[in-house]
Parts: sequence; C-alpha cells; structure tokens
Amino acid sequence: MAKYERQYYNKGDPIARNRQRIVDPNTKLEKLRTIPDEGFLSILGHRNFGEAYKSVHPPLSELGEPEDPMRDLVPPTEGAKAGDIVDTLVMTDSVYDAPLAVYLRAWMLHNRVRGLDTGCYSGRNTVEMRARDLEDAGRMLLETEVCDARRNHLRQMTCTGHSCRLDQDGLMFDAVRRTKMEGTDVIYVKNGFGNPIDKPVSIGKGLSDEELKKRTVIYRYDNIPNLVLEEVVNPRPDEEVKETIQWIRRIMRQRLYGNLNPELIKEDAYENLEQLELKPRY
Amino acid sequence: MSQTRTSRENTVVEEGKYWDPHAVEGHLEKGKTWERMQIRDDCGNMFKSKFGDIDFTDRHTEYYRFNGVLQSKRKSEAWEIAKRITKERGIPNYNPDLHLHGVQMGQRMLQTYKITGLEREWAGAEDTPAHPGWVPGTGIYGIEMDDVNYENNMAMQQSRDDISRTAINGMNISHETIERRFGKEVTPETINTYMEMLNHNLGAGALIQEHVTETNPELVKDCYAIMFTGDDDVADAIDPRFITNIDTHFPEYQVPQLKEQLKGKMYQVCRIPTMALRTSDGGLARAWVGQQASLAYVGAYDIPAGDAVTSDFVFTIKHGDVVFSGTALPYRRAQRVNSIGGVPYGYYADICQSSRTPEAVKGLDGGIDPVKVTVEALTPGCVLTDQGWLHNYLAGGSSSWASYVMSVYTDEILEDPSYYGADWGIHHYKCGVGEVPNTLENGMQIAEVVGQHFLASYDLYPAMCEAHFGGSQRFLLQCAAIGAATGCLTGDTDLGQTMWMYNTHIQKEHCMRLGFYGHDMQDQMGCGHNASYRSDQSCPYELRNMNFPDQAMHVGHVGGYIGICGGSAHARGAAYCTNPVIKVAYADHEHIQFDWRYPRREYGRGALHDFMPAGERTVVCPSYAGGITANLPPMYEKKR
Repeated sequence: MAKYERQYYNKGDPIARNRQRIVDPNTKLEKLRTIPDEGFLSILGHRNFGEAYKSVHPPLSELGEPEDPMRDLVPPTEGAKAGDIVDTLVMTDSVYDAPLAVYLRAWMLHNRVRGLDTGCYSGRNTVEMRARDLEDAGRMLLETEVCDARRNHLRQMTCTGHSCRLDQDGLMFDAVRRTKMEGTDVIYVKNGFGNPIDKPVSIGKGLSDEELKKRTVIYRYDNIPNLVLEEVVNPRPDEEVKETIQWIRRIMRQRLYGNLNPELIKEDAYENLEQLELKPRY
Repeated sequence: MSQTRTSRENTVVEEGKYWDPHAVEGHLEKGKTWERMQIRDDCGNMFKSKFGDIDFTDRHTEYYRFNGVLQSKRKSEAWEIAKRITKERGIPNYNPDLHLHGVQMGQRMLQTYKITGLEREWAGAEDTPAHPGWVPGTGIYGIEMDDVNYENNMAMQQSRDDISRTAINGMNISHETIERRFGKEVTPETINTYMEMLNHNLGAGALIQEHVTETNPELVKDCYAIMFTGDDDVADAIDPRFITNIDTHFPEYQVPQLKEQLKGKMYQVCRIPTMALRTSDGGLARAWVGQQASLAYVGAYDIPAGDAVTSDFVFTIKHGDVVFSGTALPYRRAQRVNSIGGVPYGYYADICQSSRTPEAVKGLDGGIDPVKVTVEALTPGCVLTDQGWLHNYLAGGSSSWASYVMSVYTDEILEDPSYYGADWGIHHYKCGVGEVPNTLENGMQIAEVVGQHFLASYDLYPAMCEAHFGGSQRFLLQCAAIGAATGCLTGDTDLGQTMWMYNTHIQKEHCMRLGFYGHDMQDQMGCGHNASYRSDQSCPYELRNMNFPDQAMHVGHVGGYIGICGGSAHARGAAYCTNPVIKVAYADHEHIQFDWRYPRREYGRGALHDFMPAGERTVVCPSYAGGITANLPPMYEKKR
C-alpha cells in the first residue's frame, strides 16, 4: 500500500504546477527583492521605523496562563507571546497573469504561517496577524516570487483595480496612485493607506509579460485555459482531461451525492481510495 | 415606427428600429444553431457607447485624466445642488472632495450603461399609468450608475410598492356566507355593484356612515380593485371594466392551464394607495382591504350591522381566503406579510409577466424563449431582493449596491452567454428548450460550455472585464448564465440552480477568485443542499424566500434564482411558475403602475426620469394647493 503523502494541489499542467509549488510549504519561494526595513514599514503604514510594537496585553510569560492541554499542543506565535496588537495587511492582485491570486494566497499562508486570519474577496486578500508575525508574512508576500512589482500591490484600502485594464506601464489601476513607475522600477510613493511617505520605496522592476505567463497561477484563455470547449463537448476519459477539471467534477459530484444518496459515493469513488484504506468506512 | 427619444443631456436613446424576429434565417428549424448576431451587434454597440472606439482586446488604457466627478453629469448636478443646500441649511451636505482624502471618485472612467435587450422587443407600446407609450425596439444607452440607484429610480421603488400594496382575496367564501348566513342572492349584477362600491371606497370614499373623513382622489388615483376568474360564463357577465380577462391577457396555450387551476373561483385584486405604505408595511394591504371590502359588501348587499354574523362575515374577507404575495418575516427583520423579503422566488417569477409577452412566446426559433423570461424575471428579482431588501435590512447604508444588480440587466453581458448556452444545447442535444434530459451529466456539460464561453469573454476582452470590475458581478453573472441555460434547456429549476453552484468550482479554479468575502458561502453549500430537502437546509427554489437561512445573508444571488425559476417554468411550457393566482393578479398592465411585462424597460425609463411613480402628494402641498404657506419662501431661507 502506498504511503499517503499530502500533495497540496495537482500537477497536471503548468498553471497547476505553479499553484502546487506555491501552496506546498516544503517548497522554498524564490526571493526576488529585498526591501529595506524602513521602506517596508513605511509602506505597510502600521508603525514607524524603530517604534516598538503596540500591545493589547502583557507578554504571556508575565500574564500567566492556566493549565490547558490545548495551550501545550498549540504553542503561541512570537507575536502572541509578546502580546502584539493584531494588524491587517491587504494585497491586491491583477487578473492579468499575476504570480499569485486571492485564494491561492490564502491557501499558501495557511500552509506556511501560523496565527493567521485571512479573508478572500474578489479583488483583495486581508491578512490579519499579530503585528510582528504580520511583518514576517508581509516580507514573504512582497519580496518573493509571489509578488510581481506591477501586478501584486499592497493596498490597505480602496482596492479597485484588479480587473481593470492595465495602464500603459502595465501597472494596475489605483485610484489613490500609491505606486508609480520610475524608469523601469516600480516605486511606492504612498503607503497602503494612501498617505504620502517621505522617502519613496522602490520594489524593483516588474517581470516581463512572457515571464509572467510562465509563473502565473491564473488560467486564462490567452495563455493556458482550464476548460476548453472541445474537451467539454467531446468528452474523453477522465485520465486524458486536465487534472484540475477532473477534480472539480469529482468534488461537485461527491458533494451532491453526499446529500442525495451517500451510497452513490461508493460507485463514484476512485480506485486509489482503496489504497488509502478508506473503503472499509463506506 | 421609430423615434429618437432623449431625456437628459448625458443620456442618449438610440433611434428605435423595428426588429423582425422572422427575418433571421434558419431559426425555425429545430436543431439548427441560431447565430445571434443581433445580440453580438448590440453588445458591440454597447461597448462603443461606453468606451468609445477602442480595441477591445487591448489590455492597456489610460487613467487619471478624467477630471473626477466632473466627467459625470449626474454627479456634477448633485454637487451643485449640495452646495446650495449647504448654504441654505448651514450643515455640510454631499461633497465629492471628501472622497479618499481628497481624491475624487472618477480617477478612471465612470462608465455609462445600456439597458439590455430593448432593441429586440417589438410589443408593449401602450400607454400605462406611469408613462406614455413606448416605441418597441428603442434602445437606452448612456445611463449612469446613479440613475439605477434604488433611491434615484422611481420605477424601482414603484415595483416594490406594487407588491406590498396588493391584496388578493378569494370571493367565493364571502359569497357563500352572504347566501347562507344572510339569505341574499349573489348575481353578476350584485358583483358589479360591489366592485363599483369597492372602487369608490378603497382609496377615497365613505359608503355607509355619516360624517367621516375622505381622501382627495388625486392622492389615491393608483388605488383600484379588479377581479378575475377561471369561469368563462361569470367572466362574460361581469362588467369588463372590473375584470382581468385571461383570454386577452395571456397567450393561447397558457389560457387553458390557468383556467383549469382557477376553475370557478373568483378573486379580487386590490391595490391600496402607494401613499399608504409611507405609514406602514405590506401588512397594511390585507387589513386595509379587509376593512374596505367589508364595507363594500355591506353596502352592496344591505348586510345588517350585526355583531356575530357580521364578524363571521368579515373573517371571510380578512382571513378566510387571502392570498399573500409574501409571508411575514421573522423577528430579526420584523415585517408583516407582503414584504418583499417574504415573497417566494416562484412568486417573484409569477409576478413578472414576461412569460406572456410576444417576445417570450415567439422569440427563440420562432417558439418560446425561456432565456428572455429568465433575464426579465431576474431583473426585478435582483433589484428588489438585493437593492430593496438585503441592502436595507442586512447592511444599511445609502449606496444600495447597485453595482451587483445593474450588471445583470445592462450591457448585454448576461444575455450573450445565456443564449449561447441555449443555442448550443438545442444544437447538441437536437431537441427544443425544456426537452433536454435533466441528468447531472447533461447539466455539468451545459455548465462547462457556458462557463468556458463566459470566462473566455472576460479574458479575451479586457474592456468587458473592466466593465464588470467586481468579482462578485462576474461571479453572479456567470452563475446566472449557467443556471439560465441549464434551466431553459432542461426545464428543471433545481438542476439549473445546482449548476449555478457548480460554477463556484469552475470559476474558482480558473481564476482563483470569486466574490466578496462570503459571497460563495451559499453556493458551496448549495451543491449538496439542493439534492436533499431538509426543513432548515433546503427546499424547492420556488418556495424559498429571503427568510431562507442560506439566502438571508448575502447579496448577489436571489435575483438569479428567481430568473431560473421563471425561465425553467417557461421552458416546460407552463403558464405560471408557482401560483396561478399570483400570475393573473399582476397581469393588469393597463392599471398597475409598474408594467411587469417589461421590467428592464421600466427600470430604464426610471433611469431616464421618464417614469411617474404613484403616491405623489403634490396636490396637497403648498405650492400646488395655494394653501396658507404657499407664498412663503423656501424653508431653508427662513430662520426658524
């Protein structure tokens, strides 16, 4: 019997492989840039460089915690230990071949960090964590391959622009114009809240459109589509259809059968369920 | 046959042209695909009116040069008005400079909108109480988002009022009581007398008592009583002014269905004054009519003013045979019956009269067009449940979430994939609408065909993706298109709705995003819930309303469900979706203020400020009546 190994996502096509790599916490994300601390904090907009973290309660070591097996099982994060305030970070991703998109960011963060509260909207992710944990996560979200300078932006408010056409430089529309091009580099001239910052922060050059098409996690009909009409109307055996489509069909069927008549799940089950020793449970 | 109608400077109405459905080749033969070039042309024209002459495949454009709100006629007007109000009353009013710490709305183009589908209509030219006649085929372009905000659009408000102010009572129990308990004979002549008395006292007049107050008829001229029955002999004997004639109002194939259900029962439909809703909710309609109808019966039949006997009789009117348009709401939302939150989705589909229009009966392949019915029923469904109900009772605020709602009935974007799916299905399964076997496999195939078409449209035409700048809009529309196509092809509402849910998976895995936080909650659950009817988790969609636990919490769904209910019923060849009484009760387009046959057109006319709502009080206001305050200057100039 094969040992169960968590896969995180399928690898049936280039887009799916990009998604799998990002979601898998065992994969090291490629670092594309280093933002200096002062610049990073200025665009985040929560505290000034050198300022202490704000607290909502004393450090746990001073607070004293009751005996609790769950507290022993779940160690606190650094921010929780210190009693930090919970802060928010909001990211917006363009629909045009961004290297990260909304739900994938949430899945990625859930697999890679702890102490996370994230929300998925259509145009943004909210990430709420203890302040110092948030800054660590923010570094990952802004400095690594999951952030393209022109397609993924930090926007704490008024996030409209993910589905608007790009401007002539390939930047997303931003009503408050937090970012601008300086030559080939993207610079933040305002922080996430739209307040001007003293020293603009450069986050470097954006990836080329061709490179973005290779790294993107979004299926698109001008790149690699998910559903193709020909595959839909001339059904081939499941093994020949994109694995992502196989999974969405399976999930739909199983959810429906689970409510309609759970006996039908047995008939629909895949062979490898036997390998997972799940068959006896049905 | 054509005319050009313009209203405000910023709103353009295209010259109407007569659209002959029979001029399209190959549309009458079953199994042939009808290339709906008309819709694609209309979609292209819409984009030109919105964005100008651009390359729609170009993903780049310019921003930050549109001069903020000054690019919008409506917002510019609003700003001028607000400056005057601020000066008059001394408290600041609307000020676009406060937006985003001084960055006005309008850093990108503030889009204008086109009402979908009006060019493809050819009927409904009559005058109605709200407005003079319309030239069918006239298009409406260039309306602004503010024009379809619920607070700014009188047609939207009137559509809500028309539901809340309608009271439907069966007359048979009352007649039986009169004959048995009072020994009076009920004849067509007495019924005519009763109806005349009811129309006298329903809004304005006193009937049986000295020295009582009455109402200025001008204030309540939208108030009337009418009746209908499935019995042809009775219908022929009643004064034609008081009856909704099923034969003349419904297509030939729908008449026997309605009459078979209604049989010999007689129903009266009373519309209480719109003005009355200012002081109460829809529950007032039943009580109002109970009172006035009782008095009319007393006057018409000389019923003595007894106690026990009279109270038994009044019970028959107020309670005995009442058909509510909507149920009462639970404590949290606290509204009585006839509230738009309590109207079942199937009732909304029946209230919309699109299924009896010539376009719905002879629109698709020369036969019934359930897609037309779907998109027409979906429009007031979205407006009333999202803007009128959930916005007010769930979220509050003033913006009324017009953006979700307007995406479904503007810009041709919903109709194109819905017809695409229907056409593909007719061609692929080689049968007509409503005839595709309602299996899960077929449903998923239809969903994937429509889904890939819609996703490709958004991907290949960036301007379209910008037109629907919110993921919730795109999600709602794609779900609605898939549900519409599936429901129209199979005639199965539940399968259509379940395929709506399937789109959650399709769209999420394609673009890794859906709608706002929690938007897809009921859709994820619906995959399973639709297949299992349990008291607090599931139910036939026709019988659900906004009380339903899943649906009471998010906008951007219910209107689509309503459309699918209506479209699926039409695809099955049904005359009504859920309740024939509701269907006929709202069929009197010549009397009711909001023309339920063409909701999109009505909302468009509301956007043009071309819709006169009922309940205006001008006749008793100072400047009109010449009352004692008529010569005083405006209020804010006089310090009090």
